[in-house]
Amino acid sequence: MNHQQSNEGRQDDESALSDFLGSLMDYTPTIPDELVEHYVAKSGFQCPDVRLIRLVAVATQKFIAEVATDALQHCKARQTAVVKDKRDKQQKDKRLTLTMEDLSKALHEYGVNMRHQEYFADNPSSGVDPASREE
Amino acid sequence: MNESKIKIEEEEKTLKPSSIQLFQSTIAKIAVAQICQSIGFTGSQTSALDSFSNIATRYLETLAKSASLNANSCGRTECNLFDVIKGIEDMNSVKGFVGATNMKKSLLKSGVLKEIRSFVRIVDEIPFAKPIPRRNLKKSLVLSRVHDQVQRFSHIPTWLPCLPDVSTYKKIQKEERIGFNEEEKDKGVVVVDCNVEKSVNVVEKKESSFLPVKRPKVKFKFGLNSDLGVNVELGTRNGVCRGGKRVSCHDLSEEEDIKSFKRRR
Repeated sequence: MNHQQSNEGRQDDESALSDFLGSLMDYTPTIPDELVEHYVAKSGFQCPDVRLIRLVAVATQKFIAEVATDALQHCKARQTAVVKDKRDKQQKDKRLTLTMEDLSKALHEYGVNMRHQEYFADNPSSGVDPASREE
Repeated sequence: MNESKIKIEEEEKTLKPSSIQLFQSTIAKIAVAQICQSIGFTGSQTSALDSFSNIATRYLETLAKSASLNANSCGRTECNLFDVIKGIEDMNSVKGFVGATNMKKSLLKSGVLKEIRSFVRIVDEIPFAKPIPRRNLKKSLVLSRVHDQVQRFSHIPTWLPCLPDVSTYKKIQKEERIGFNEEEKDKGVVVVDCNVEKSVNVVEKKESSFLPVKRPKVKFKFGLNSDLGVNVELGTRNGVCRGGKRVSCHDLSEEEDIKSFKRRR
């Protein structure tokens, strides 16, 4: 009896999985197939099936999305903290910008230790006082 | 002069890979930026986006590498679904996932896969901003492989290069084809009685699809064989050459052969 049930369960799993893989044929991940194929071929992955490449693309997209969500939370938390400190400049920095600081914090949870130079100039205006910067 | 030439060549050599890398990294950057935007970011530091796209590509490479390693350790060259799932599980094991503790669980029930499935269901589809041109060479290679796999025999492993065209090593095929052609011709004649236009169409189609270049030559051969008698045919069926090999007609006298040939002419 148990054996039968497990068999049925397995069949359900397989059908669900094949449905999912079939749906990947219509789904276009944000990471383009061409890029995935290139990087995947670079590391010795051979597969003529588009669905598997899409699966890899979706997995990577999920990873990026998760990290970005974490970074966004860090960013928001930092901003609210800043607002608490200085109530005068409430409307100053409302824009959500992906910064190295948030990114490295978010990536730390995923086992990636990322650091950048202490004084890393992103653009010519990065050293300038933010108040004098005009957007 | 020579020195300058060498310099230019060196520059080209150094330029080429860097431009390719630049292309790859730019595409990756755009994709990552799109994902970030969809999550709610309005902007990004260039350095942050650079390193994030770098990490994304590294993730992709590591995932592919672990999948191909799984396949190789099983004695395969091509990755299958299980290798990929195992690779994804490996990548997610740092943070942990549902059902990671159960080692005996089937890979089809993997918690990682469920998460991905829900991710695909929930998250909106954001296609890449621009279509990317493929390299022509690669595309044709892939196409030929896919096309070839349909006709492949099951005992030939897929990593072997494809067989040459059938017409280069199979002789019987041609004769069969011509027989088929003649049958079609008969059909065409029948159709003439019913509908003239249709028959014309049939003939035209046949001409466009078949009508090989060497057709008259083969037909001539055919006639000769049939003139020589039924014995030859029987010989092919009963004797040593049952495997469909070509049969030479040396047991008949050459004079007769020539006579029949002349008569035909």
